[in-house]
Amino acid sequence: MRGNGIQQPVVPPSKKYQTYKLMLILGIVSIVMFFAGLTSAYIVQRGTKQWLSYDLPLIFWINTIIILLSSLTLHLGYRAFKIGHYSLAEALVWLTFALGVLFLAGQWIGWNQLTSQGIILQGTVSESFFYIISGAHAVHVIGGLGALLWLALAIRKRKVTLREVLPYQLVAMYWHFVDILWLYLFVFFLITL
Amino acid sequence: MTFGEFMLLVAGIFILAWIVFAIGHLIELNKDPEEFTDSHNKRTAWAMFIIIYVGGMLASAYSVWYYLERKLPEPAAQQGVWIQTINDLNVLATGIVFVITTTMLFLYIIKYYGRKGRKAQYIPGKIKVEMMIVAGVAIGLMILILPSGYYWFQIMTPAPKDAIKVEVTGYQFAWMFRYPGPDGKFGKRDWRLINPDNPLGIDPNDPAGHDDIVTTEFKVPVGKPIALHIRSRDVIHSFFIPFFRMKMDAVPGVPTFMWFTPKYTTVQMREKTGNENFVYEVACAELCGSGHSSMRTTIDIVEPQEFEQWLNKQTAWYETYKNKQVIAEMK
Amino acid sequence: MSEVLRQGVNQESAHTEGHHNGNGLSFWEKWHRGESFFSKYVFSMDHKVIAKQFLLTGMFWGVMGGLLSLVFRLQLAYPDTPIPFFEVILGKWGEGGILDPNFYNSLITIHGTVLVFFVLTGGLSGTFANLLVPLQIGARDMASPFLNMLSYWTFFLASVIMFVSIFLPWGPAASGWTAYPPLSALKELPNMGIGMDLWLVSIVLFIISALFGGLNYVTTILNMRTKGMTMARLPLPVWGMFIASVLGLLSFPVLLAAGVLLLADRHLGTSFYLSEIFFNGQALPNYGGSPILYQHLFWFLGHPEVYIIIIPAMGLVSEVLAVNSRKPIFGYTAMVISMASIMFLSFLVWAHHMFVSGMNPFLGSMFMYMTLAIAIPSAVKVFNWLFTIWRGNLRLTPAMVFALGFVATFIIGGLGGIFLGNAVNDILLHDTYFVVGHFHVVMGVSALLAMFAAIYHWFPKMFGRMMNRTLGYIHFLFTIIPALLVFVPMHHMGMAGVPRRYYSFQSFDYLAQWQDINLFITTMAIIGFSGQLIFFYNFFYSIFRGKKPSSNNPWKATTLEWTTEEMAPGHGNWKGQVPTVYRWAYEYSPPYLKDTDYVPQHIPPEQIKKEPVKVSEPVE
Ligand code: HEA
Ligand code: HEA
Ligand code: CUA
Ligand SMILES: [Cu+2]
Repeated sequence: MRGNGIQQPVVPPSKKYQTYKLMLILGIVSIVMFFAGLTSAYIVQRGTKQWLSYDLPLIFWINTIIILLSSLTLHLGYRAFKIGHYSLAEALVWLTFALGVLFLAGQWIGWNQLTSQGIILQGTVSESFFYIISGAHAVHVIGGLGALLWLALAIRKRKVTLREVLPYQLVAMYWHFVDILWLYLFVFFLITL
Repeated sequence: MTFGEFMLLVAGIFILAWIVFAIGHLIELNKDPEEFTDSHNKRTAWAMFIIIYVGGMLASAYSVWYYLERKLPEPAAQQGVWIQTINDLNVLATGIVFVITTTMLFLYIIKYYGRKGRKAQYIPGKIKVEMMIVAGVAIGLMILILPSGYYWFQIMTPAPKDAIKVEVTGYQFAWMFRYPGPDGKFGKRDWRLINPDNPLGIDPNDPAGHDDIVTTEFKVPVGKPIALHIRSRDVIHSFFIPFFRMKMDAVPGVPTFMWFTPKYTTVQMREKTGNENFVYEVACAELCGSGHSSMRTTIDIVEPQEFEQWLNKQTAWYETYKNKQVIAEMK
Repeated sequence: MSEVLRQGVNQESAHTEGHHNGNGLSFWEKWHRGESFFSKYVFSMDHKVIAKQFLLTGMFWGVMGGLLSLVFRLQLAYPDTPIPFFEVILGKWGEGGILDPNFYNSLITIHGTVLVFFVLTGGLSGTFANLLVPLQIGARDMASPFLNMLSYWTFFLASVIMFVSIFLPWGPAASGWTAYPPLSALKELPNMGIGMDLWLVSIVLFIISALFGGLNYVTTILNMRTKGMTMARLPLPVWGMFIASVLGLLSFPVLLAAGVLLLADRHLGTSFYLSEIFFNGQALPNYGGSPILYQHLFWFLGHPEVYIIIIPAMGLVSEVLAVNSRKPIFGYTAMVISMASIMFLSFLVWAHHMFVSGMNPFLGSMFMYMTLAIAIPSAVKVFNWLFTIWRGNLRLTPAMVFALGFVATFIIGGLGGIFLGNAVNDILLHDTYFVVGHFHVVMGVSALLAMFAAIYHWFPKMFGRMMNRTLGYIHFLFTIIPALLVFVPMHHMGMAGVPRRYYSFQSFDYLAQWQDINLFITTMAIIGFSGQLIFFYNFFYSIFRGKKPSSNNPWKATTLEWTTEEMAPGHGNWKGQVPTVYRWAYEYSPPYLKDTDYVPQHIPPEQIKKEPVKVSEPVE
């Protein structure tokens, strides 16, 4: 722009790191509030009138393990990445991605199993809540998958390297968050259903 | 005022406004917008003081007088008296705070408007002053909170055991009432049983419901506690009795309660207000659709023996329902 | 997510590598440097341009909201007289000059929604957080200019959808701005079909926009302050934006949750908010939900939302008052603490909107105490403003006059809140015109006055010219007088039991006596609206023809936004170095000064003693 215009970048590089991290943390706080809203609504509604209790199918246990595993692979990838093993790191990110997809597929199967047991979205409030909350979580997983995809490609193109570790950290942070969020929701449902 | 006259008035005001505006614009064109001379500040300060403060205080006084001409008559239920007391207490307390703070504001404006050669005092603030504000307001609030907390629980406690029970059901866009009949018990309700013959969905197999009286007329005796069981059939409504200063929402699926002790009969109230057509009107106070503003009913408050007579004359809901079913079967 | 990252990566190269050799810039880089018309004025990432975009959109909705209110005010003034031009402007909703009752509800719904969300949240926070946060903390732009741009365009999309919904033949949403189910969930009701869906979608987009904005403001304030600008030296507008943004980040997602569940009830057949409903001649299958649940979720945002509106307004007013009193703000720390405590308390009072919804009386009493407790930090603020002008040397600029009007009307509106916060009194006043009077005085008048104060004050920063002063005063009189005459009588109506959201008062004997007041209110509303035309004229005239200020610091303020080389700076804000900060933002009339009465934040202490302070030159 105007000739010699800006001498400092709009965002100084030293601060950019902290800045995006902070932004992500704040974003995560917002997402937490969203789920806190849903789960506290669930608790408030619990115990009123008709409240159907049911057992979650086995597949949700498996899914929990899958998504925990995916966090592990992503973390291992980060270890590889940090010592400059880019191809291994990339492979592990792809693996994480695959596990994420597997998780979603598992959720899909789980919902279908529930439906065939007669536990349906249109049923009592406790049934609807399960679908809405786990569905909202799935949407956040899809967002995470997009980020993983981008990360894997960026590592392949060496756009994210040791000079630029931040993107990996951010994606990992979000993915671990989505993972912990599921763990929380799962335990929450186990306790309250 | 007819609509045409009204429009003329508005147009007149518009034109006036634009004349003032044009003059203002022309004056300003020759001036430096950054220069705030002493006389400019003085004029502005006094203009604010006189137009906004003095004018505003006079207008407030006038509006209070105007309100007193039109306010609701004395509350006709004991609970309403409490509510009105708190309201009047609030008027008094906030009125005092309003006058003090507003007077401070406008006095400072005419006292400290900018002048050349004067210098503002550098006062960044004092913890002590802040503490005093906090303490002062906290103490002031106590005066409001203590009686309010007391009355709140008085009003919201469950109704006394001997209260006369009436069930109120709101629907788009009217109210319906049910009296429990001689057994003092309401029959069970299920919304899936609602049909034109059974507008409340009373379970015909529940014997407690056989003597229930369903009516669109709402009559209660004076001087006795009345317990309302409030329900809704479709969307949220709110049962608002301005003459008692009371209201309670009618929420589908969530029964609510309200109780009060009427002080005056309708006839007594007619004498008190000097209005021979007076009736206790009940309004709906929660937006419920196109008929919200016409969802009106009335309460007739009568002497206890009149109430008994009236109640005895009513036929139980089940009688008519049964007959209708029989006719339907014969067809 | 990935977009943000990519943006972050490229942004750096745009300024480090791209700077030396101008060629071979990628699309993003060119965009970010704002070189084409399109990226300079339309999809701009410059926070100041985005501020203007928010402002213009806010003004558009201000006019829309005002016009809608005039239409339904005419209905209230003439409930049984056909008004011929209704048919002309409203088509089938005004057939024969009679307003359709459902459309009345639609009008108040859209009026409330757009004024609360689009004008006073988007238009006020969006404008002034964008304009002032980077400039006052000494940053070249927001932490993520891209997210900032995205925030505006989501807001724009939300506006477009809301606008379209008004003109649909099926009618815009008619459930009130609070959209309580079951009314808002029964899509078979008139005006509750597509219109309601679009309303919900628009609100969802608006929430997303507000979250993007909030993320950016908070991060920027925490991370991008210039050297020496500690948190304790931040000007109060920045504190206001910071606190309001945190409040928004914590509460908007809950409204999103409420909206998602409502959409599910409408379209997926769930029963979160529905139970035991007999409607349209048939019993709905839904069972087990509760409409009260929605009210809790809604007000968990809805209440903080009103403080999201007023806290930035308080910050802006504090600044205007201090600058024009030539005095430090009284009790800077107390001001910050009180804003923070208002924020904290605002999470604990939401159910004061539900005192008569059948809630547990014990809970009700707790909410009453919490609500009344908000009067304490509010009182701290009010008295601090009063003590700020006390012994000042008031320069009564239009901005100052509006700021004083803010204080006066905030007192009136806030004291009305004391009536409502009192659970006992609220049994009478809930859903009456008292509530309408309360929130219009505190929000429709006082927050609006604060916004105008800020516009008059920072107009030169935005457009490089000054607004016409006399017109400013006339605008003030034509706003505050009609506004008070419109909204103060409403308090009396409420105490006399006049319910709100009434299409007409014809069905009730006890309401008939208010008909002449209604006519009076409508007249005043029309005058008040016409007063805004003066503002619009002044605004647009001054953008092109206004006087240029004689210096870069026309109000002689201490804050950093007045240290830029150009009055209305380009992208990057400062051509040279970003100034360094040496003191707090309120060094007005300190006793050690002789020739001048203020020390800007960026003047090093050594320079003060040596020579009288010069302002327009930035210090290296
Ligand atoms: C900017 C917006 C704004 C602000 C700042 C406020 C401020 C307050 N509001 Fe208001 N309110 C709304 C916007 C706002 N409100 C809206 C939009 C609604 C209606 C929504 C709807 O239903 O459509 C509403 C409704 C509303 C209700 C629900 C009414 C009902 O529906 O029944 C209540 C009840 O408690 C309430 C209370 C308060 C209180 C206690 C404050 C306090 O923060 C006020 C504090 C300020 C002061 C008290 C004045 C200054 C203090 C002094 C001068 C010191 C001395 C004072 C004393 C000793 C008392 N408000
Ligand atoms: C900020 C909010 C705001 C503002 C400014 C207004 C302004 C006005 N409002 Fe409104 N109103 C609401 C928020 C607001 N209102 C809300 C939330 C409701 C509740 C809805 C519901 O029940 O669901 C409501 C409801 C409401 C009712 C109750 C309807 C009913 O219950 O039946 C009435 C009745 O008279 C009314 C009247 C007016 C009038 C005459 C004005 C006049 O002051 C209008 C004159 C016009 C202006 C003063 C606008 C000028 C502003 C600009 C031009 C903006 C400039 C913009 C920038 C600088 C960015 N409003
Ligand atoms: Cu029923 Cu409003
Ligand atoms: Cu509130």
